[in-house]
Amino acid sequence: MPDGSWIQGKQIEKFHEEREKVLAEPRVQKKCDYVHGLWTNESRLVEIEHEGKSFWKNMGFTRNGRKFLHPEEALFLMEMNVLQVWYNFLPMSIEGAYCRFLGPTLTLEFHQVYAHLRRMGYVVIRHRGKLASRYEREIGLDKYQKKKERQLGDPMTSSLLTKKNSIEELAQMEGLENCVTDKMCEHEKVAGEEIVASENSQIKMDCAASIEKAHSQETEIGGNEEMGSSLILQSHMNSIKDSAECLNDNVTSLSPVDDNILTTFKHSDATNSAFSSESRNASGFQYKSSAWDFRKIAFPNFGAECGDVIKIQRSESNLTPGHVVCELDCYDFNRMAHINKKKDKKKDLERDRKLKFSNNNSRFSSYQNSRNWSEYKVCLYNWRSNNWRQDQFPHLFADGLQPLVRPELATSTEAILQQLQVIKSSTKPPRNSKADPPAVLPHFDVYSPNKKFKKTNPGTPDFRVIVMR
Amino acid sequence: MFECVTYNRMSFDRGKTTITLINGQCFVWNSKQARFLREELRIVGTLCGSLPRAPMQNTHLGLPLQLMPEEVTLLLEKGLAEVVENTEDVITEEMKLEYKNKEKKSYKRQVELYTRERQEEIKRKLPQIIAGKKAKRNKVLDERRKNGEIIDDSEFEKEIEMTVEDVGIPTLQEASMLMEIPLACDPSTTTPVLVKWTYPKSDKEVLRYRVFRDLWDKGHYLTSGSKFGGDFIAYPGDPSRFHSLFIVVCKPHSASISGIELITMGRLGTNVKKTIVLSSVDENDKLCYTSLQWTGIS
Repeated sequence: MPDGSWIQGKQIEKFHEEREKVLAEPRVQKKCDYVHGLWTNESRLVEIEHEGKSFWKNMGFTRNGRKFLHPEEALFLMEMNVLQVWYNFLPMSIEGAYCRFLGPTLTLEFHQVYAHLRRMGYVVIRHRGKLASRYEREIGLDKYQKKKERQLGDPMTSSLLTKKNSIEELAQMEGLENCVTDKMCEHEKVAGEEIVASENSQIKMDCAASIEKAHSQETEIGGNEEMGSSLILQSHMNSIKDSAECLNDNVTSLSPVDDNILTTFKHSDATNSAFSSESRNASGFQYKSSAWDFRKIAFPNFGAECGDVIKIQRSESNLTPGHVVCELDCYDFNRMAHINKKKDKKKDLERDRKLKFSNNNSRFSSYQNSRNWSEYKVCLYNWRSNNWRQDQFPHLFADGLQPLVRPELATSTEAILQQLQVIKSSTKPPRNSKADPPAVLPHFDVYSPNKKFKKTNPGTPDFRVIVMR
Repeated sequence: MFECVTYNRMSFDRGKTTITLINGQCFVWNSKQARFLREELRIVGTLCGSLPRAPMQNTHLGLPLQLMPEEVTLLLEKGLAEVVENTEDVITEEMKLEYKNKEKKSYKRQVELYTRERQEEIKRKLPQIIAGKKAKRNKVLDERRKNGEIIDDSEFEKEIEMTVEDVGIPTLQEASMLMEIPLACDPSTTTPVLVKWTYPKSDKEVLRYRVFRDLWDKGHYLTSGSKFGGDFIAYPGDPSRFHSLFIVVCKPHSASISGIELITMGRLGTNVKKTIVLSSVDENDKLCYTSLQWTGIS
């Protein structure tokens, strides 16, 4: 095609002239229309004070009330002639920005992919390590996560930006303790207000310890990008469990040892007035310091393992309020019926009436002895392996025509179905958020442009992009 | 068909082309130099920034121009360029003051230019302005006449004397001053430092550069081959005007090529109407090229 003709040469020359002119055009803007950004080498982020007209909806993030832009976002905005980045009180040129922003974390390919997609109009955000599964989104766990993140500080930001807000932590502690006191009021019906207050103080200290543990656990875990949502929930559940446990410990410790009671009682004078006021509302007692002698009062141990029935002896001193008279000497309370009682719905009762399971006594005994589901399953398994054996059904296995499933193999529905199956099915390994993270993580989450896009709740990305060379 | 372009049109008064090494990649930040590279030296490169006049599109990109490492080595060998790295100078109070002064000067200059431009515009439009003022005055007089006042007709005909100075010009606020995001580094605050360029090192890179150099010497324009799955794309003339003819694939001379690979390459070349050129360096250190053309598919 190239024929070395003069006219071709002229056309090429004209093309180059125009190209040079277009490439040399400067990026000019009114000073007030530029967004002012500050680059810091330590954080490798550009901080802006006032957001621009349009880009803040899709780019940038907030940390501790300050607005930041990632370096690739800042570079893109500089090329768009929207942002002016200052460093050391001098404005940065685009070449300078390339020199400073590009580094081991931000390669040229990374920026080019980002800029290419942004120029096409997509909303491109750096991939965040945590992804809420569909179930987690259904139960609202991701919103809870976000709330916790905001309170504790995002673990993904650098240490320079995180600021532990002690006021918020204290509020958290108070929140947990309030729910603990509520539980306390439910349990203890025969309790003095001082006792409640004193126990609160001890619990408060223990709670504080457990919350501190939980916090430190979280920040430890938070260093890892792959923190699953279940981990956060677990750590919080642990803290609540810990506080509940120390509650039980306090109740058991009160009856035998007297000195302890006195010391805890003394502590109660110094407790937070908030707690004492709350417990006053709950139990209705007045704050009397010398009315009762705790050495003579025996409190029932609700937490002890004395079986289903809690026996309460009538005590010599009249602890019941007002004109209530105790008739019996010993009161029996069915633990299941009185503690953690759910409000029975009519339809539930009806349904329970209809579903009458067969009275298999041997199984019920294991049910009564086990404290939790895993123990019960173990009991069941033992019972089955003892009772469901082939030799117990000799009449079935005597002939040539035998059952497809042997009793020993009937461990679960799946096992039985497995025995009956002709075609083997393959099972996908269950999706476990605690499993090893995938070997290659995406770099960007890309969303199609839409007006309803919210940075705080972007939703599932339309595409995920990995930048490779 | 191919001619070696001689360096006659543009002189070397601008000196060597400056290539900036940033994070392992080479860039050219000057449009004149970019044009020179392409027009005179047949070094094409790839533009990888956004264009100032049309930033939100991907078809036409702007500076900086990214160069392939082979291109850089060629330029260095020919002594036509130098590879530098920008080192930041320590920012002194002097520099900050200097910048502020520059800004102030620019502001003053802008105010000057702005007032001058407005004055010229007013001068041009002065008859229209006068006519407008006259019409307004006449309208007011008409209103008064309607209200019962007796106004002489000559009032309507009176001319308005106005000069350019009488028309007010608003002042240019400092906030509305125009500022620029410069493309290249400010030479007063950065010092370029020459960098040792160590490409090519491995056997693969050496082979690639040999092939590149040879084809360049033969007069082709060469660009990166990632668009068509090869090492280079060879154009007979400027890429803006001509389609490429060859997809250059560099292979070591002793390497075996499976049948599937041949089919892949043949298929690819045929579908895009280009010839695959298998290039290698043989035992006698000579470059040999094998062209693939698949006639099976029409």
